[in-house]
Amino acid sequence: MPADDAREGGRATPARSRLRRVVRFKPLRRLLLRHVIPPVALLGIRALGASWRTRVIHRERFDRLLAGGRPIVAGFPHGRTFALLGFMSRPGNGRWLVMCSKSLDGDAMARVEERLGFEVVRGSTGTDGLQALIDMIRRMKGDPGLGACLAIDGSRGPRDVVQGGVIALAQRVGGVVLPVTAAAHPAWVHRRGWDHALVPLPFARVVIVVGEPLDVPPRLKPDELSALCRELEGRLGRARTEAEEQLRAGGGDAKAGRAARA
Amino acid sequence: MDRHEVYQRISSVVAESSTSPIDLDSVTEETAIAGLGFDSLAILDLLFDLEEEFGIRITAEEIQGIRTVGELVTLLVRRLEASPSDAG
Repeated sequence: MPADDAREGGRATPARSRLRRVVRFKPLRRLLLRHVIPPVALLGIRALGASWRTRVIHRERFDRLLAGGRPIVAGFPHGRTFALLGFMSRPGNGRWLVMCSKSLDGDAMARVEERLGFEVVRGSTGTDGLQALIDMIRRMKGDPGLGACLAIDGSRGPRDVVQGGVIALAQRVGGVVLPVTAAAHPAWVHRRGWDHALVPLPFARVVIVVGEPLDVPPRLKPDELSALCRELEGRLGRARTEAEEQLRAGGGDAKAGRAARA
Repeated sequence: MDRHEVYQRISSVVAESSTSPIDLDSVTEETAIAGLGFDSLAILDLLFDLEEEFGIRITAEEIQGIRTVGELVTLLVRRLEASPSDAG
């Protein structure tokens, strides 16, 4: 799952800007991001994840594809990365390859993801992103049973708009795209970020919806690729609606719905 | 493998990889790769097809730096000379 791609000097979230202001000495920042933050973040993610009451809707779609042996490319909105990390890394839920930026921030995220059990390929946008996609294709072709998790809206958005990478990956490995999304209540939503990242709070109810799998033909014309992107958006949109409805049906109130929609 | 042979093999790979029909007679070394229907993602098809055809590895940086068919021929000739045993 791609970490935020803010490079040194690139776009930064408030938390990252704060870290840069407080820790101006780059070697110290590197030390913190590579060796201090990852274990702390990992502990936090595991503790937080263990407190969530998670429900998975249409789990049978996930299990059927895992058992089928065909390469799976799990596509999800970037903003749902945090809510889905625990589910995708759970033992028995497959082996997954994720993409993580080459920035210093990406170093921290890559270490966390590796410790969660993901295999990591580095890169995010531009030539780095294309090379990362090529590396993912090579790794998946050489390792049957290895799936990939990729944000459908890339590392810079626009939010919820499917970019071609997820389709191109599935196309090249002869795989299937599996849309996955999540809703949660109570949750913190980073509204100033492009992806409106959703972080379920301790003891939150988390609903994960596995959408309808999308077959990708081996060759696609540009208009067909575009149509598949829109189709995937539609399937993710339906999955999202279902997640919100399930969250409400599970006893959530209007506020829960608003948090889920963010 | 000489330049002409590489060019011939590249032309047929390009024709197979492209998502739009290509008249091979109109393709020259000056023809722009982008003009043959290879955008940033379609270029992946070309890259993997060339790797399969020539038995070499091409990086994203190399393929993105290529503007014309001639530049692609030059790249492959150079790579094949560097590792003649890879010339599948």
